[in-house]
Amino acid sequence: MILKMDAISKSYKDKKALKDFSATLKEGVYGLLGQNGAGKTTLINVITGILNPDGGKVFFNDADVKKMGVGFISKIGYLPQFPQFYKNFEAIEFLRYICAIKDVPEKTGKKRIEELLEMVNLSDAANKKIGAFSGGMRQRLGIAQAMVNDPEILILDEPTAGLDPKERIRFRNIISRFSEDRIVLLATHIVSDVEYIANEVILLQKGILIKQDKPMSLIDEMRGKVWEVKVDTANSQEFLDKYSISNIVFNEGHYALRVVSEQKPAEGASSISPNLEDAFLYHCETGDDK
Amino acid sequence: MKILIYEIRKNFIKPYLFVILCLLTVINTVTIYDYYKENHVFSTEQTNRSIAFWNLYEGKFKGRITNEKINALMEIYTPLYQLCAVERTFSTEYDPETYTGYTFGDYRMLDLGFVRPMEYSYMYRSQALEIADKANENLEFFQSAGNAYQYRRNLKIASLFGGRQITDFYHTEMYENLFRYDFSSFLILLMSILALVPVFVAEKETEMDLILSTSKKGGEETVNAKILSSFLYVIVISVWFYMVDFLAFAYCYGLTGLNNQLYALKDFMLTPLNVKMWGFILLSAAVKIIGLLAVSSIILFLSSIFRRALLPYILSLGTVFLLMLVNEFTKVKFINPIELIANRELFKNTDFINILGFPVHEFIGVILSVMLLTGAFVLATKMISKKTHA
Repeated sequence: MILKMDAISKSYKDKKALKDFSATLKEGVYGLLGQNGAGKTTLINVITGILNPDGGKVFFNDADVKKMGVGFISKIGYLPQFPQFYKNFEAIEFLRYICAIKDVPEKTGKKRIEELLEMVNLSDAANKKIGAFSGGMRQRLGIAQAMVNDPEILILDEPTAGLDPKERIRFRNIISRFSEDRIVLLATHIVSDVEYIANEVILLQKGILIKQDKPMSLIDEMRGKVWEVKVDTANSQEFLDKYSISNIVFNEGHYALRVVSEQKPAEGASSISPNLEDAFLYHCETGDDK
Repeated sequence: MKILIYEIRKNFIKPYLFVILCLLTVINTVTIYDYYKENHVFSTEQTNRSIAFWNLYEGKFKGRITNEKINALMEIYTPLYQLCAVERTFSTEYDPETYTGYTFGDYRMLDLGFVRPMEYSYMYRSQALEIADKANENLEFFQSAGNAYQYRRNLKIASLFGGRQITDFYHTEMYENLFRYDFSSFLILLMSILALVPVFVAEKETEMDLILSTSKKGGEETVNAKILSSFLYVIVISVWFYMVDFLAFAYCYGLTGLNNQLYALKDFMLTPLNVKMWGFILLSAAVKIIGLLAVSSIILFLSSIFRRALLPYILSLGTVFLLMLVNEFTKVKFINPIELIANRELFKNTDFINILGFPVHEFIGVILSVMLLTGAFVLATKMISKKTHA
């Protein structure tokens, strides 16, 4: 199974949202990382066919998805960024509706709904109106609706927004299990969402593909580029202005700064183990304005 | 079918719509009662005059017009006419020997309730024949002049009016007022705006349009189901309100003469329709619904082009008022759905339009033009939705 994006471009008036974006995805979880406005949602909208690109094409198993039409749409499960769903529907009723519009046979759908409600921990709220759901519950329902047709390609736009830490862990486990023999594209600006489960990370900045690699490779690349510097309050601002800082901890009268930099930022700086957040900062911020 | 049911559930099975429907039904019923209080001659309330009228109507004069009935009526009416209209020497004192308690009251009751309408019914045949004869006379002239359209038009008039006669006498007050009553249609329009504006807009507001776009049946099938379910909703609430109208008017004015001819109403003397009262009640409601569906198609179109609900609400209300103004102050009948919603004027006179030399009833032309408008807006809505889903 191969999903290939070939030189995708998309502009909104004068603003270029995607510039010659090309990437190839095979079975596995892909983390689409980028700052807000980097073009993640535009890319997803192009893949799902919601937007027509100005240039380039999307191929699924070498077939142009535009030509595949409904045949391609049937293979997709999609969770948009801020879904509200229908407040007057009960959760189970909503999933039945999704089964209907996705043309899932009734018997299969019934079984699938039961499994998914269990999976996203909403079995007890199955007959509750969506209007009475919390943000996290709605998000979990959104994840369930995206998986209802057992899609070959699952696309989730900011799926963990509103989830508490326990729910996030649960979500990661669901996605890891689901990704076997499937393509899962997970767009987020929260790096920890993808750090543990993504087979590959796609870094997007201002509509341009910066990097596509395994998380470990990206982390390895960062070795020798992440430093810890201890500074007092008076000097901290200088570092904040000059370097990309991925973390700040205030402890016993001084700041411990986690600095991402090619060069050793200060005499007393010590090299520390990098993580994916450092890589994200390095590629998406250092390369930009620092 | 499943999608259609879900669209109905999604858009129209809402508690607030039900509450508003109940509220507007009560308002409509109260308005009909108020209207009746202002516009009645013989009420069903227990007043001396109405009791006297209904006793005479039910006991003596209702039904087939016969010489015996006419003679019996004239026997009572002539002396009263002499006293009240010619000599003007009637007593104004209460008189228990009279039907209504007063001599003049008896005269007015008989004059308005029996003599004039019965006279109209009795004379109608000759008036209709006169029209048919004139049309027949015109046939020869237009044939010799080679005017095929006018020839066909007169032929139609002759055939329409030739066989007309009113054989039965029934009290028609209920129908006269029912056919003048438009408030319920206005309430249906309000309910249509309220329920139809969210049909497309709500999908965008909730981002469900994105999920629909990536679903096999979320495109054309869903759009079709939305349009069809909206039309079904308008039909159901229209049938409900028009039924309430019928029952309320029947209760207030008294239900009688459903089988009488429409042209038994003086207002519809020249109607192009040879239908009975019950037939016109159904036909009028159906034509009103066609008009309401046209307005609905405009509302759906507005709903499909905006991403937020406020503007389509304002524009829908604005459109309805604009169409009402155009209907009130201009003579443009075609394309305006309000012409069908307040349709009594459309069916009062026999007018034709010339289509390729053939006379077509004007009301058919107006209905077709409004249906065409509906089709255009449905098509535009489908195209906009398709574009949004592309």
